[in-house]
Amino acid sequence: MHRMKRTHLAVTVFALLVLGLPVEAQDDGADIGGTIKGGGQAIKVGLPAPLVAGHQATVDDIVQTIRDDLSFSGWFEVVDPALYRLVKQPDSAGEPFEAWESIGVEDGFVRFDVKVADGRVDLTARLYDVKSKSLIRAWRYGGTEALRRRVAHTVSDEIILNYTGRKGVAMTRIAFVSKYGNGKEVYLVDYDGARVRRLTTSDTINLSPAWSPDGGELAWVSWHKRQPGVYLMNTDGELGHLPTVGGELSSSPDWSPDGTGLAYSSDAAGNTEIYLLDRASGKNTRLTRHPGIDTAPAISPNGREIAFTSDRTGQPQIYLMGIDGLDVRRISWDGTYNDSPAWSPDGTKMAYASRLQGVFQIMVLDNESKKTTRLTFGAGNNENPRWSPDGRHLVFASDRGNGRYAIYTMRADGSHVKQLTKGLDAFTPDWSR
Amino acid sequence: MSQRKAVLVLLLAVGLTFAVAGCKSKAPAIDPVVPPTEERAAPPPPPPPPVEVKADEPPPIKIEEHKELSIVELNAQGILKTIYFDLDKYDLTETTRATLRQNADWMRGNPGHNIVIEGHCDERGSIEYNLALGERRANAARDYLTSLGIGNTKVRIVSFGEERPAVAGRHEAAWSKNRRGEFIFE
Repeated sequence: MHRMKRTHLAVTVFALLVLGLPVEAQDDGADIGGTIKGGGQAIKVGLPAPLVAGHQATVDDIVQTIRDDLSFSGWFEVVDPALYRLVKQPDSAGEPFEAWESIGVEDGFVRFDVKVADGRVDLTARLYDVKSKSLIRAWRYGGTEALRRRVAHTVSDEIILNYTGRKGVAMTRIAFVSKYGNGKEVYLVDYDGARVRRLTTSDTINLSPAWSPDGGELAWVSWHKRQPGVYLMNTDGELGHLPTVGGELSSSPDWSPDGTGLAYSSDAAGNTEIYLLDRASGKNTRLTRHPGIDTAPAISPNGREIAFTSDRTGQPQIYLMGIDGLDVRRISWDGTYNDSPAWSPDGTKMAYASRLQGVFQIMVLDNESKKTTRLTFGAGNNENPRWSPDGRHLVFASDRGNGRYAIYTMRADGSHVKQLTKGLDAFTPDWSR
Repeated sequence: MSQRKAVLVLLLAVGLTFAVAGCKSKAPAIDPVVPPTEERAAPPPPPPPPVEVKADEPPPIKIEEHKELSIVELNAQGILKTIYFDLDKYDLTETTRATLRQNADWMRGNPGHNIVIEGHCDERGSIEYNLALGERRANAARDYLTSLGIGNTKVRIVSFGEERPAVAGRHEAAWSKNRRGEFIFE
């Protein structure tokens, strides 16, 4: 919790630093870095680590973090660092652009200047364009040495934004729950699997953390008042107030895209139905009226529709309705058991978990073409899919491997599966916006 | 049925044997020449009709006064029986209803307790849906108890979804024990 506070502070400090100082940011205004290569080709970059006496481990950690961020994004191919020794250091003649190109760095390379002193790191990154043989951008960020990975992630997102025009996910976090003591507690982990930390100490069961759109709050389900209820906390672990309708079961919180509302399910009317809470007024609106179970609401990115799970035909299936609860229609037609709908950030796709031959697999429905694509295969369960904020990745829980549940990420096409948590029994992830 | 009666029968039999033996020793030895009669050759009486065995009925529980027991003791005694459900289902089978009738009998005879019905699921469902399904199971049990009349027993429900399995393991033997409704005194 303490660490989180310092993190926010540090971010503010970066911003002041960047805004307040004439950092070596040289933007020539040209369009060189702002375009994505056509044909789905990776942007080929070189990211050499500088030699810094006495602090090499810190420097290597920073540069490797940036390499990993760019590789993970799927936009970039980081050329093998083992080849960098073939490129000589810049001299009076400037950067050896031809040498970079000869080892496969076709697009750009970054020269890092890292200063480590008094427990702080000061990172300057200069991005060179190989084609135009020029320095095109430079950024400078600093923070405490403990936050060096965050400093690195900041630079990664700058590089990604520069090349793609899109916001990267290097600063994002994933909330999940893991077995702890006699229950399950809420945890956070950086999107790349670093810095696993426990957020709650409740000695009971906690489930389904859901990030607010601004990343400052989590709604989640807890039994800490003897029965499952929906609660609210900020990322410092402080509890907030959430005036839900009560009942003996409240679960499955999901935020409206502007953060003003929260959809959830409750049995307050004697049967599990979906409600929408307006946070400003505290007013709850009941959206479903059906004797079947209605749960797992997911509000669309444009705020106009809600996907949810209902067993009104006898088995759980995914449905859509307007934000007013009208115009209910079923959208999952493959399989006999479907749950956990999740909208892609652009609203064009719906991920969900489908029980096939007794295990859950992650499916993606194209909302336009109505075509369903299966993303996961194999003997294990793959459940609770949630999208990365850029829509290029999914996070999910799986017991593939040794039968123990862990959090994984994969690209939106199901490739590049990566295990994020190890040594925990981890469930119900959600990716911060 | 009494051991005492059995002992009595045994004693009588022993006594008779002695009596017969005594008579025999005193009586003169006469070989009776009596042809076998129709009566002696008669077949044994037919066996009584078989008692119906109700395989699905759990053994009856004793209705006793437990008021002096603490909540911990009440729960340790397993007075109120756990009920079980089919996969993905919350309807009450006839076996389940029979168990619930016995639980209701106890509650009527022992009013004034606070009881929580816990609804549980096996791990094969999804986490969110199972939470609602556990609620359904507990609610179905409570509704049936209420329809039977349970005195002034206070009943609340709580769903644990698939979070608190009774038996670990990934096979039907474990799953069938985990799809359940538990009755806890509180």
